Amino acid sequence: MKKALWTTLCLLIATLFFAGCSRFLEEKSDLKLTTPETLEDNQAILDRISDVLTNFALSGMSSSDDFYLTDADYAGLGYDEDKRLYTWQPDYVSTNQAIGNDWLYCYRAIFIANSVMYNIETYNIPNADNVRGQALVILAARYLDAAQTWCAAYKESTADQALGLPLRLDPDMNTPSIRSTLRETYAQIIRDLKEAIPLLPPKQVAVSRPSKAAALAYLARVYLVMGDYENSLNYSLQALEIQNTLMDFNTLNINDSYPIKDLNAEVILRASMRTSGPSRGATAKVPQSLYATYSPNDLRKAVFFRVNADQTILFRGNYTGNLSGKLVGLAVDEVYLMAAECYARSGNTTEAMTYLNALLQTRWKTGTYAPMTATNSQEALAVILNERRKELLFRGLRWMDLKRYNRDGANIVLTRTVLGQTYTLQPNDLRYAIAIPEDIVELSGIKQNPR
Amino acid sequence: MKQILILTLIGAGALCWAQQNVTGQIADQRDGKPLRGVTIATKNSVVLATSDAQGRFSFATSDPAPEIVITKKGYSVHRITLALPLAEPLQILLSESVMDIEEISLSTGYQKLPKERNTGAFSSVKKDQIEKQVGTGIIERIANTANGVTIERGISGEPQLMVRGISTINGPKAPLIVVDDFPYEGSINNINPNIVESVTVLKDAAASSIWGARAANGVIVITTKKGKAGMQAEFMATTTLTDKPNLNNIPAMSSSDFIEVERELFKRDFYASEINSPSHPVLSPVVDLLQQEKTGMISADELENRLNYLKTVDAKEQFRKYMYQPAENRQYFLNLNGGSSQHTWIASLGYDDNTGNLGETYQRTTARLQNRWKASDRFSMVFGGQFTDSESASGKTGFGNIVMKYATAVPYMQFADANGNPLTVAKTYNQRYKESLNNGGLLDWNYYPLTNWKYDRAESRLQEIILNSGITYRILNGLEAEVKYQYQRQQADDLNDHGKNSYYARNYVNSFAQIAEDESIRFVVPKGGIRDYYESLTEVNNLRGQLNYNKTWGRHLVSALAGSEMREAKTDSKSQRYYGVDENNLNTGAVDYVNPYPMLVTGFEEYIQKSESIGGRNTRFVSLFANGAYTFDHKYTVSGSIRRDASNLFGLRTNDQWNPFWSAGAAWEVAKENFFPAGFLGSLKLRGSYGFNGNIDPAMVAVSTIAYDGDYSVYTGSATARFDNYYNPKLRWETSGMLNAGLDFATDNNRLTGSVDYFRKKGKDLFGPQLLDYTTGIGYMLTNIAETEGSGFDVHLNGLLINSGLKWQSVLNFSTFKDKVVNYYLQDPMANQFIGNGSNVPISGIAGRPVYSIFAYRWGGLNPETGDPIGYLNGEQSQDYNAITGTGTKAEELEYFGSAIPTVYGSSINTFTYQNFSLDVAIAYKLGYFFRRSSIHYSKLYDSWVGHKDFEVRWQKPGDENVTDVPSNTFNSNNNRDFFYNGSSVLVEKGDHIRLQYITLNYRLDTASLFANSKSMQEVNLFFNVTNPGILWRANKKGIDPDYQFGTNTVRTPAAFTIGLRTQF
Repeated sequence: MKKALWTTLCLLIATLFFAGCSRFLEEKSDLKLTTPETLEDNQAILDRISDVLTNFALSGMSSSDDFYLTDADYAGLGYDEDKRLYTWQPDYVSTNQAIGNDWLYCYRAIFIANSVMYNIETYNIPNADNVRGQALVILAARYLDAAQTWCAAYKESTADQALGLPLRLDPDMNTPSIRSTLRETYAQIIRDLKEAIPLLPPKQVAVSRPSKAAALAYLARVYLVMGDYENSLNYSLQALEIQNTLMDFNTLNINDSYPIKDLNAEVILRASMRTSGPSRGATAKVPQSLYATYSPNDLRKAVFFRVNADQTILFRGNYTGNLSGKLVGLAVDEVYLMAAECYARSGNTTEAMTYLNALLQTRWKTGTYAPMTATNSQEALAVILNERRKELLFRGLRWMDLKRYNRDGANIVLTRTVLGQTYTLQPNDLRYAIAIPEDIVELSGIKQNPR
Repeated sequence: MKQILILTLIGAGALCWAQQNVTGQIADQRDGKPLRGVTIATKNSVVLATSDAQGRFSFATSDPAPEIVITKKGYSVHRITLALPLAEPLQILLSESVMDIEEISLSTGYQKLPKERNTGAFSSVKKDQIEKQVGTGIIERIANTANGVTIERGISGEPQLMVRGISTINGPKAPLIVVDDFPYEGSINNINPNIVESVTVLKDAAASSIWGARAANGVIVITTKKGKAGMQAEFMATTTLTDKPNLNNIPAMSSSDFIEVERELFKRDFYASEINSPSHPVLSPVVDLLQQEKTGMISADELENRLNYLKTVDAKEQFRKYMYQPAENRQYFLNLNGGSSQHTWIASLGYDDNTGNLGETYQRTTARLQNRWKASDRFSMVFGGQFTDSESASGKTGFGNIVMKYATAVPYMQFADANGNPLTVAKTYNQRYKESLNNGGLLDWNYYPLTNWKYDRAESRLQEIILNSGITYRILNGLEAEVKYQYQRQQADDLNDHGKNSYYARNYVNSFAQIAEDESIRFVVPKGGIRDYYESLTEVNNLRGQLNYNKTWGRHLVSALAGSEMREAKTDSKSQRYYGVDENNLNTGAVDYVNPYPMLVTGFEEYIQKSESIGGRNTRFVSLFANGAYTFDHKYTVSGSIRRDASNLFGLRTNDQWNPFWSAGAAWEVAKENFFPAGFLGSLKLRGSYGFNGNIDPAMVAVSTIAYDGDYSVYTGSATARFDNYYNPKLRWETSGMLNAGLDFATDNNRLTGSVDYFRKKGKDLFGPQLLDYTTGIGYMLTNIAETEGSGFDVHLNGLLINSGLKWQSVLNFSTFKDKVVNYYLQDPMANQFIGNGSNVPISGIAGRPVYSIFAYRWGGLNPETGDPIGYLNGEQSQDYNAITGTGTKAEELEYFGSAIPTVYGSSINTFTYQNFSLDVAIAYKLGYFFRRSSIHYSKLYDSWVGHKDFEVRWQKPGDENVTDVPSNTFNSNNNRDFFYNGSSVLVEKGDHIRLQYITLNYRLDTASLFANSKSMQEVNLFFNVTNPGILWRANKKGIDPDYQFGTNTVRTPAAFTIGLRTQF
């Protein structure tokens, strides 16, 4: 009896620890946790679009002439940084990290895309072309957006001296951040997109995943910004080969609060802008002068705008179907306008006007649109740029356009009057490269933009 | 017998007739040396005498055959019945106890340790100290009385139980709670305080290292009552009443000030965008009236009348009148125990029925049965179980919980009219717009807070079963084997029932209503209630095998244990939501989660909320442990302990799974030395210990991990996941060491006992959140950031100060804790990181300063012309708030005040006994720390309706800067100006205060005179208790209670009054 008990006890303890132990500890502590070793895991990371394809930079739009604030709404802006941004101050135009700013979300997405590429390599994940291609497009989209915000306009002659972005090529957080040159930044964007093109299918299951069409359209946008119209045209046409459907605005219900719906036929990539500060809620008002440029038969006048009781005008034509989270990704209308502009700039007036008319045909009341004509390419370009202004407002493109137009001599002076005081921003002013958040300069030691 | 008792109480020897003197001498059986400090008492624990240095004692009695009980710590209890008169003085020999150490031992959860032989720092609370307090939970009762334990409220809004301050920066700060043998996994409120026999707090490494990594913050071991031979019963009943809270401590802005601010903002068109917004956000009642007047819907006179009326409305009054009620808690408890020398059992039944200040209810039923069976000399067994069932249900809506916009309401909110009828309160959307939509087809869209709580209810039920068993087998003399097993099952069921009449359900249904052009309405969310269910089931299995060895030979004494343990805690949970619930027949409706629908008011396309989710967690641990002590000659003890743990925590490399812990200690009984002078001190022991542990945070792993969100993307229909942890190749283990030196003493007559401990903790490579260059994509990361040091004293004194007709027993707990950062690995910490948001105190990383410190921006007063606050930039006065609150201020330029955690704390409990009355008065104090008080934040006032009564004393005209520090109201939002003012030194206050914790008056009924058969009723006590009557003294002059200063809606609980009855028969 005694012996038996003793033996049992010893056996019990021994079994516990020498046999069962390692297997006992192999059980997963939480089924929802995993190491990102499979293709599905990495696709799941990229499909969480709130991490990678939302919160694109807002600072450019806040600085542009897409909207204005009433004095009361300006006074009601909670953060002084937002007020300073609105009046083009040279510094303290970004709230700090704890409150959130454009830099934070931009580089957060870059980190995630880099991590996915790192995982594919580290875990040797097979058949990962599509996922890798998506990550590359996200990187390029983010860098391109950031370059329009924090870098000067791209100029071939100064691209080796001008400050570019810190380019983070892997997810290691111990690598210090250093600003590249502007040429290196654009070269990286082009390299990523070109690498992505053969990896991606023409279209994805949803426009929340970057497709080949998105990569091509982004290349068209990059080359447009750089002033390389030949390449821009080339990639615009390639993108349109995959996706060229335009919405007929006659089919939209203008009684809906937001007649344009999320994921509509024109969207190529559903990437959206951060909502905060000046553009939050119903404060961003459309200038009367801009509203007045739409003809009464132009359906965009009704679809895009809402006139308040006090005659102020709000924009409601956002391609994500809501008031907030403006679409800054890609849509077919932009690609049509890029093709038209590039044709005009290369002297092909006929093709330029064909693309423009194809787009505008869908924007006017049925039967009212008379196709526009131009006698020469200069005239065509002027018409096209005017229509670009009217089609692509609140799409995160105006700041980029102002920079490149002024670089090419358009001489556009921006003016804002706040509480009786007038502020102006001269063409090619250093402040077109918005100040990098002060805490980032402090934490990383990177160079601030020249003021 | 009874006469003796009474006589002794009145004052022995004062009135003596028919008394006999008893004298005697007590010695140690082992060596015949006389024993001093031995207590001679009646069987009812009335102390008759204490032996002197020669072991001699004497007392007088009138009982011809008294039964006396002779006790001394570390010795077996001796009971004899005398036959008086005695022929010669008594000669009593006491034997030292090895096994029978129940009453004088400390429990670590692995072993019972004679106090005498321990080398570590323990403090203990006995059941009488616990029973003198009232309340549903055990935690407050421990914190009120145990040494070195406090409830910290300075760092965040959440009260935090702490043993000896903080030991970690990032890890959990709560001590491990052990009930009997195993860590307690469930809600600690399930423990009925009446089942507690004693509580031992393990404070230093020697005491707690047996518990491994989880002991880093100290261990609190709760030992429950055990069965005793012989039938005994105990019954207790209490009723506690608490008045309505008076809401006066809430620093709310006055209605008239608030309305004036709104008027001015309206005049400045501040609300124009909101009024015109296509999303129709909610407007305050005043803005709505102003707009009505502007559009000609009401006249200017009517506007004035209505505004003047609203200025007289105080929402706090409405809450007091219609929401709050006196609270009533009732507690009943019955305990039975009995058995023979072979088998003992204890059974108890407890019932708590609480109704809170808002009419919310809580019922708890606890039942418990424990058996001990001694089958033979060698074999014994314990088995038993415990069942707890608690149910709670929500009540009315408390202050701050009626929300109109974001998280707030206006101070003139009115939800009941003069006759107590419900009024509509604007919520979610513009009230006027809501009304314009109501064409008859929609549900009533109004919010009636006065009655809404009836239809929107939360209920939860928690059921817990604990089954435990253990067998002990004595293999050889001194060697025994033990196997213990415990199973715990806790099931939680929560229901949020938004009934069909609740605002939540009506609003949700209406918001998704689709109105077609012909005005027909389609409800995509079906009409009816919305119910959210949450269920979770936790099962914990603990298995422990252990060998104990206790052996005495000659002057040597060895006590050791070694064993291993496995533990598994498994939780499965799921949540569900039902729409269109008809409470009459429990029909539910179907909804479309896949497609977005335009919301009726805003036009935004949104998805119907899906709340189905399932979760599964399973944590497993394996541990090996050993612990030993050797004592020589009853004077010198050395001890050591070692433990390793492994777990399945995800992502850990196998090598990192085994964490080593060790400790070593020594003790010396100085008073037992021959050279020690006889006289004042009866016992004196010196102790010292050191322990070391290493820790890798389970959240910090060797690989990057991701966590699935549990839902599919609405775009792609595929799973989505986020990063959960980031691989950091530079990570090192966190290590910490703790040194303790202490002494225990008792005077010769045991009237004054006490202990003094000094401890020092050193933490290296501690984990903390590092603010990274967020170009890396990571804002904060857990990494090794600091080296810290903490030290302090724990003093415990227990004295019988007066021992005559009036007895005065006093317990004093005095603790100090000072910590500082010795080394901080990060470069250039940013100043605004140390200010924190609101009253939360962030971790500070400045060498020489405590981990939680109060820092503030230097204050330069108010600008005499504008009333703007003035700060400092590069040593010069400045109003550049962006630079001051941004990168313009370096951390070292901030003004440093001191620790945010009390550096001195403790309690004093005084018991006065006179005849049948006893009075307990408990006082707690917290000293040597600072807090940041709240004040007006103008941007939040304009935008979110968060007011503050400091507004009344704001700067308004030149000269005001001499009498106030509250900046002017500019009607121009500027968060950085507000952030600077709220983080400036002018708002920092001393936290020091002394609080009256509780008072208990107990009357012991003279049972002999009440009942003819006094044998049946042994003891009847009636008591009256007041808990938390308030602050006695505070250092701040603003009348702020530093324990209740968080947030603007913290309602201070009023004092609770209790009457109770406790009997034994």
